[in-house]
Amino acid sequence: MVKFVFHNKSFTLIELVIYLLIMSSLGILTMLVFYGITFYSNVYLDKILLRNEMFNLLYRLHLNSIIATSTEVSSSSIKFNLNPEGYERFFLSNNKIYFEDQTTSTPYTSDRIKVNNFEINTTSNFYHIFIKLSDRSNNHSLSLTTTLYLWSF
Amino acid sequence: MLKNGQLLLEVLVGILILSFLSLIIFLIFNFLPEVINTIDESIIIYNLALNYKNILLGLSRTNYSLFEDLIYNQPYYLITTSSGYEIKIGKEIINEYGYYRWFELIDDSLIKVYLQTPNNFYNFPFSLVNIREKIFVQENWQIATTGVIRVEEISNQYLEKSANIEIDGQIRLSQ
Repeated sequence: MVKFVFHNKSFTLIELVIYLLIMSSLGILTMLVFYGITFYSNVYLDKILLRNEMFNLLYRLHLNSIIATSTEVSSSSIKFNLNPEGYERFFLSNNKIYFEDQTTSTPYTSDRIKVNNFEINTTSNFYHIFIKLSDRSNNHSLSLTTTLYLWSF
Repeated sequence: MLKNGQLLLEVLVGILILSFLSLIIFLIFNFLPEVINTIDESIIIYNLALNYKNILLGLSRTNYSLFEDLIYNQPYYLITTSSGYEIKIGKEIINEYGYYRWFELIDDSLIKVYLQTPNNFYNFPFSLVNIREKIFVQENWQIATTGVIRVEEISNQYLEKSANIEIDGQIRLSQ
């Protein structure tokens, strides 16, 4: 006849429940860490992209405002006439800012962003350009008004 | 049965892991949003300072006498008028961002633009020179051997000259 033996070294139900609770907490915390890193990495990359695009645009506009001999402005385009006979024109079309010169007309902004606004107003020799950029999914946007002074003679 | 030492070790390892995870979570949800805000702030600050710089350089070029009445180290700000800008004493509050912006005349030609955000204070010094002439004369400066550049006031405008460059409506090297 087989003798029934009790083992005292196994887990009790309470120990198992506590173990599962601790492991679940660790799992949740770890998930939270990964979620946070992924979420903020995406936000960071979107913001950096918007900032870099905006900086490139501002830099080019400000440089042209210094070296241009004259400008031609409409509500959504600005043309810098450059010495001796060239020009650079920036205009809004299909949610992109295009760059046009004597030979080419190409998008100046990246495919990964949308240009929601590119509005130009003038006061005397001062130009106010309102620019609003957003990412393709419209989760993040960056808008500002930049002021140019036309240095033409 | 667990020995006391083994139990203590397990508790310590558990506390270490939990502390590490808590610290990581704290950093992620506190530090990263600030970094991300800084990205936005940097381009906005850059643009706000650049705007003042352009306006002041523009004003100095068209009407330098505006600057002759300014007091050194006194805060001034600009207000928009129908024909351009006017200089006022005080600081401008930019409600959209909660920033303060103003400028001070440090000496005859040096101006500092200041920006005060809720967390940071920025200043951007620049010189009241005609940057267009500066850019166009740059090549000539490199060619010129004297290398001595001085600032002279001519007809209420500040123009930069080197010893053998003439600026009389057009920029050319003198013979």
